[in-house]
Amino acid sequence: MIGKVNVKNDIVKSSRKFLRDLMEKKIVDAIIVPLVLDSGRGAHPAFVTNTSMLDKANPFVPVMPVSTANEVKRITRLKPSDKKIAVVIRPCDLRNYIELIKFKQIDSSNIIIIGTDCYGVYDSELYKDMVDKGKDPFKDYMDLIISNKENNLRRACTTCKTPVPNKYADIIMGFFGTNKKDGILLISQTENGKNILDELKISDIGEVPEREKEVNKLIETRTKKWNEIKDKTLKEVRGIDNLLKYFDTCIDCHNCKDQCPICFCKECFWESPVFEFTPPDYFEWSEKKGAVRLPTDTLFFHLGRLAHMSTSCTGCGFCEDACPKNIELQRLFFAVGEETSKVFDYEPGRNLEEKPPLTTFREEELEEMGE
Amino acid sequence: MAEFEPKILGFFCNWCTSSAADLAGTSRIHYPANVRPIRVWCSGTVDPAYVIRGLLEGADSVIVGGCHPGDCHYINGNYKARRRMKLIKTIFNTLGLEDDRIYLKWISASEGVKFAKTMTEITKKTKEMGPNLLGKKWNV
Repeated sequence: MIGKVNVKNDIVKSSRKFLRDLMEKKIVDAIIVPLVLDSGRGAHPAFVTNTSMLDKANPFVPVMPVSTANEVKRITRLKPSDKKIAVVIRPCDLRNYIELIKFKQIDSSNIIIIGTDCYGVYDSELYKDMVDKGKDPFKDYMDLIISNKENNLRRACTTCKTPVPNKYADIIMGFFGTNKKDGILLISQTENGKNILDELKISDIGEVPEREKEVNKLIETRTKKWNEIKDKTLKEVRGIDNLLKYFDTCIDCHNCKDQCPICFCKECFWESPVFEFTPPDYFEWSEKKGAVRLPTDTLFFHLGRLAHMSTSCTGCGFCEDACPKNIELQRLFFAVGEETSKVFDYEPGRNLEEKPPLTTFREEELEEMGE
Repeated sequence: MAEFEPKILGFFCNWCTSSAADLAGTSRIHYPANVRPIRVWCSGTVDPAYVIRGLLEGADSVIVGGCHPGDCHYINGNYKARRRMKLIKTIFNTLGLEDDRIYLKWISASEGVKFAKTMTEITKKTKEMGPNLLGKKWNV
């Protein structure tokens, strides 16, 4: 069903009311939702248990410094929650969440997913700079959505093919299909979600045909753009020299891996003693090639990471946000990831029942391999 | 100029392909000495990273050898190896790197002749391809 909440013709206030009701009616005990920082220069997801803190909440805030799915992993990896937690999460990160459940890194018991519509976000540096220059990033963002422009959006977001949450959101908090002013849509997608809306006495407003129209148009534009970027990227990196060029400025810091929600291994191969070498090792490599780049194994790290995680790459772009050298990792990793997952007829985040390709096999498959 | 002698890296499972190598040896079947065999317990233990590192370090080909489908000593390790090798080949192919330097072969313990024949064929093909350029790059 589709319901609506409107508080003072303000979508943020409307969303706060819905979240506050969830807590006050004891439907949930905590909410993970982005809170605007006290300085106003950014927003971070927070684990909220006191409704008064929800005055700082903005589920649609155009900045996403860390992955919420990754935080839910930290919270539930050792022990499932016995109290109810609502998680407010963007569409790309919801796919990360689904992948992490499959990898047994998230226990989803007692978690209610509140997915949000997403037009994209700003880089957190840009968001901060806007505030420092006296601008209101959220107002700027809403103007962007209404005028259907993309300036200021994070690069990865401008090629995002999924502006709305997938079927695993119990409830969607949406603004597509509205005039972006008079409140938000609440769309229940699961039995759980429907019960919650019933309990909050939110009435069904029936179909919202404008929503599908607006969403489809956005998906169409951005899919076209992604296909162009993907083509361009795979041409740009073709062959070893071009590939090395792409990583010219890489300092092998591994930030991309640290921020990647899919790279969940507690003991990463690339942080392991395998890479603790001794002087004779360096002499051997250097004597073979005349010299060896330091730190060693930079390209190896990226190719190896592609082998380890690309089939689950959701294209969220946290890797490229974390890169201190601004290497555009997302378009490379997601482009390769789409090719590797396609081989196994897999799509990250699509279906909880689909096992990640490297955790399973079929006896009858890939007959061109091996003889 | 001396003929190019490729260096070929082989990851062979203990139960099948390594035994086949032994059988080829004890049966005095000749095959080129280009292959550097590494015995692993199962083809399913070969992390894609090992294959990638071998190629980046200048191996001219990499062969992963395991038991025939259905015959894995550990029941299904070779099926997992098959997915992983397909994955690396796809990554290499997508990036315009030479994925035809990567081989997956099923050679059972009784197939000494097949082992020798396979190594001969791969050595020949690798010679035709010439040296692996990745091995010349100091900044990988």
